[in-house]
Amino acid sequence: MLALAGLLPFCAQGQGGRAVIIATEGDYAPWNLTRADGVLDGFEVELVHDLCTRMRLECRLVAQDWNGMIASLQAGKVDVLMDALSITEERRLILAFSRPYARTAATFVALRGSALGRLPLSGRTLSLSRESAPDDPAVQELRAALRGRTIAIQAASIYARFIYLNFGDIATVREYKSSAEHDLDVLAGRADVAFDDATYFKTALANADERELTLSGPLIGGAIWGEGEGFGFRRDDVQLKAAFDAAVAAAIADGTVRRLSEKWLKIDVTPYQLPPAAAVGSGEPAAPRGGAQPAEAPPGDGVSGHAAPGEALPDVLQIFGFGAGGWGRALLLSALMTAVVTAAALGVGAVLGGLIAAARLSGNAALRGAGEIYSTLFRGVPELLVIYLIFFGGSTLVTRVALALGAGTVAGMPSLAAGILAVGVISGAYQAEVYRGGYLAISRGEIEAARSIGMRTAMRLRRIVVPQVLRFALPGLGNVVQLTLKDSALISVTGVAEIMRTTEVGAGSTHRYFLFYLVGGALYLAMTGLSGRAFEHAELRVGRTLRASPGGI
Amino acid sequence: MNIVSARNIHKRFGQQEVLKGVSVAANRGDVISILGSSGSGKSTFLRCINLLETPDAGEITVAGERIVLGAGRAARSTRLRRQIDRMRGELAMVFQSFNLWSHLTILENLIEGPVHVQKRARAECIAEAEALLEKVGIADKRDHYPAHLSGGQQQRAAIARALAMRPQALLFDEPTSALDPELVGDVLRVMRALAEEGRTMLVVTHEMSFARSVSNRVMFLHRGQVEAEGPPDELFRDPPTERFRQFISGHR
Amino acid sequence: MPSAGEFGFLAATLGELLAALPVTLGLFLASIALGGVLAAGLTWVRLRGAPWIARLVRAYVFVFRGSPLLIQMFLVFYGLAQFPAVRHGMLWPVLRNPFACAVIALALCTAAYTAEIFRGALLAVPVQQIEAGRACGMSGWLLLRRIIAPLALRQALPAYSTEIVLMVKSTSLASLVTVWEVTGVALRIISTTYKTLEVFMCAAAIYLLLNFAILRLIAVLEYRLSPQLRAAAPAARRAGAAAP
Repeated sequence: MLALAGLLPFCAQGQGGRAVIIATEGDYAPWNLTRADGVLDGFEVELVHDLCTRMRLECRLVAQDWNGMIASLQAGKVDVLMDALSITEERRLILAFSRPYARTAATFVALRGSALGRLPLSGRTLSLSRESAPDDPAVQELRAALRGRTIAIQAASIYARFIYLNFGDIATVREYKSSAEHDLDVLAGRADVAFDDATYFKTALANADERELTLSGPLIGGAIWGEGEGFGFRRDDVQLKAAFDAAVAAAIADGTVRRLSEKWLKIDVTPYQLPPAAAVGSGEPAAPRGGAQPAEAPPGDGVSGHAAPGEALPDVLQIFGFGAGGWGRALLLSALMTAVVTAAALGVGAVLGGLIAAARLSGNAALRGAGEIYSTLFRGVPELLVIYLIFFGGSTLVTRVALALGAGTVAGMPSLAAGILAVGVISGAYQAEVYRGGYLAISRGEIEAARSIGMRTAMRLRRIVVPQVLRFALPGLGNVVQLTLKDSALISVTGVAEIMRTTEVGAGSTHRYFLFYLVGGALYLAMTGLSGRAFEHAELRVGRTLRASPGGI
Repeated sequence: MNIVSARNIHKRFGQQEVLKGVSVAANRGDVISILGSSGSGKSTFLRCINLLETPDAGEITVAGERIVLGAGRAARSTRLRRQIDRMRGELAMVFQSFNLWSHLTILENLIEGPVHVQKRARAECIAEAEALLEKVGIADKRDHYPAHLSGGQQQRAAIARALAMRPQALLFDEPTSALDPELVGDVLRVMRALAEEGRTMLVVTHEMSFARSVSNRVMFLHRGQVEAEGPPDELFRDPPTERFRQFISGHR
Repeated sequence: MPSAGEFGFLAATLGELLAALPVTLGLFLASIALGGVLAAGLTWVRLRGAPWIARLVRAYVFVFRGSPLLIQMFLVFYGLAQFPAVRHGMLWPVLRNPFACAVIALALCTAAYTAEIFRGALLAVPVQQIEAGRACGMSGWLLLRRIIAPLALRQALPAYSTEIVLMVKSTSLASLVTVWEVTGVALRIISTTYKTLEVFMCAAAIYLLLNFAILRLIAVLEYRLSPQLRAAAPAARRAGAAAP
């Protein structure tokens, strides 16, 4: 792959060269979160700042949707992934991991006061290994309590595997895309308990939306969760990984990890027991139980030691206000970004759509075929995938070309431009159909009349055809504008802070999901409403030229 | 000298030969009516003169400029296309279905060609267009869109649009066939006035009274060939063929 | 160059994704059917109902067309369930089921689009043809069934086919509410293997083929519904055969 490591500056004591770019999700509080003023914060964020200082590396943090992260790393857009990544052997086939900087425990939550609100062994800490778990008496006790219930887990997490293996036969297991959603579904009563990272639960349960939930059952830690959480790198980025390994070891040794973890996560998640591969040279004694050590507050009491949420209404005003800690400004800016992306993508789509429509209407069979393939392809494949291919596939290509040409720096396509291009390509496929329909609706006689007075093709196109196509295409174009507006939400995977991304980051960072989704939806409605009005107005104006009697039907 | 002439025009659509060597020649001030039942090729002939259809063979002269079309000579080269555009500018066409540009007002329809094709001064074109609208009797409709006009008004606007090009000759392709009977009179009145001004006109029509009283020559086409031709008085008084006799009696 | 191992991975991925295809198809068919019925009702109410109901329908169409489906689905599934009245209401057994919930969210959204398509198609039926039907003594249901619906359906098909393809793609959001259809399974495979591009390519191929097949089906339907546009001979034969 890309020999980026050679370009990186850390051997030269951080002098010259470009900064190391670290990607994080920015909406997994308390590990990584985004403050209302847009600044990233959280356990991992503070830790990585400390590590970069240790390595004398210039680091730059970027927030990005999880879905785009791996591809960004492989395309060379970012150098390090930091998103509470659990180290597993399967993932090692794709990524290199640093030695772990955290090792957490997992537990259950249930509705406060429900039958499962106090599972057996609540308040205790278990240490399990993959081999011992099925026969462990504690697990047997939990099995008895959870028989016939519905357990909610985050899909494809290390916890999912544990639940399937040990409870899959006696309970219904339901997988959710993110942790936030399984909490909400326990609240809704569709699931009886959720099982996830204890540090996540502690923060989540402290917010107003989830006050009805409580931690339940034992804290489960130990070798069963693998090595813990580490940074991810490209596999050939050996030097960067080595630098991070050393820095993480030092931060663990001098207690920095412990201090930050207690500050943010309320318990110490330091991985004292080092994995054999990474243990070389650091004579840390293995902790007897190997799991997470609870620093305080036994589970069962969800809201310990956390800032209590304020009263409902002033709280809402503050969250969406424009003062310090208010998301009003961020949301307004995101609406502006959505407007910019949509407008630019419509422009790109207009050019592409015009060309494709012309190709599909042309007499040349090859051109017609090419146009048809474009239309089928970009309307038939899910938009998200098109964005992936153009954003990540495209920038991998650009990077390779830049390297092949011996360019010193890796150019890459800027996120915004690539996102606009991707949405524009899709918009173009729909616009082409609209323009084609508009052209077919023009009366042939009017074109003939233009020919009969000696108008040349170019002038005919400009003076007669295009104005009429636009007029007939107006209603269809209004639909495409709305479609493109909503498709612009998908470029949130590239990290561009438009409405959808800001909504998700805000929801994840504050744990106020419904508020943010409602506001996000309202912002989209406002924008589609505005564009709808504009088109209605335009159609009315044009309609005057079309109707036999002005004002009539 | 002939202002417009077409000689020995041949045209086929696929297997079907629509024109089998038709000729016409119009001098200044001639009004020639072209008659024929449907499928006789009369509209195609008119469209060939304007080169809206490219004849397979034949020769067309407009205002001294000549184009010869023969086997294998398609209207492809830029020079030839330029020439065709130039010749078309000298011949204005009035269509059966008006073909006014629906996105432009009546006045804009009139000045579109003069301003953009002939590159004449806009103010001058507007003045001239207003005078033409006055002449065809729809001066009050100058800022309306075509869809707001009745068929008769639209056709008169289309005639004004043709005149605005200052053509050497006017071609009419069944100008009254798409109109309600009570609207036909207005259009015919305008056409009669143009004939009296001494305009050169080629008119494909079904209006026998127009052909008889306005035109100074009549052509009768049948299956792509001229079956009868001559001054209307003679032709209508004494039909030279049985088919022509049936045709005029069928059309009253 | 892809090695044997990578081909093995692609094959395994394709197999896993195809196993989820019935879920995608089920979501699609159920939501199209429910959405179609809902849209027909909305159209009828908007054209025939009292002004305030018509205004209500317009508001409905505006909200569901104007906001992203992802947000709608989130609020329908997680949001509604936050109200105890809903949790103890009659509909809870249905709303409790993720699949049913996903179908409802998809159907509510597509109904808004489809209602607009139906309305446009009905308005495009030439008045003269309806009058001709009346002149033959047709009215009400018969007129709708024999004259208006066939003409409107033919008119609506191109726009409706676009909507149908959009719906196939929209089902990919259902994994948000724990219905693991093709895209959800793809995302899950990516979370464990981190092989983004390969997995998404497999998913894309499946959607492309699915949409292509659906568009072909609609093209056949369009052909059958427009005998007047076909060559004369088969149309005459059909008409002869259909005569009682």
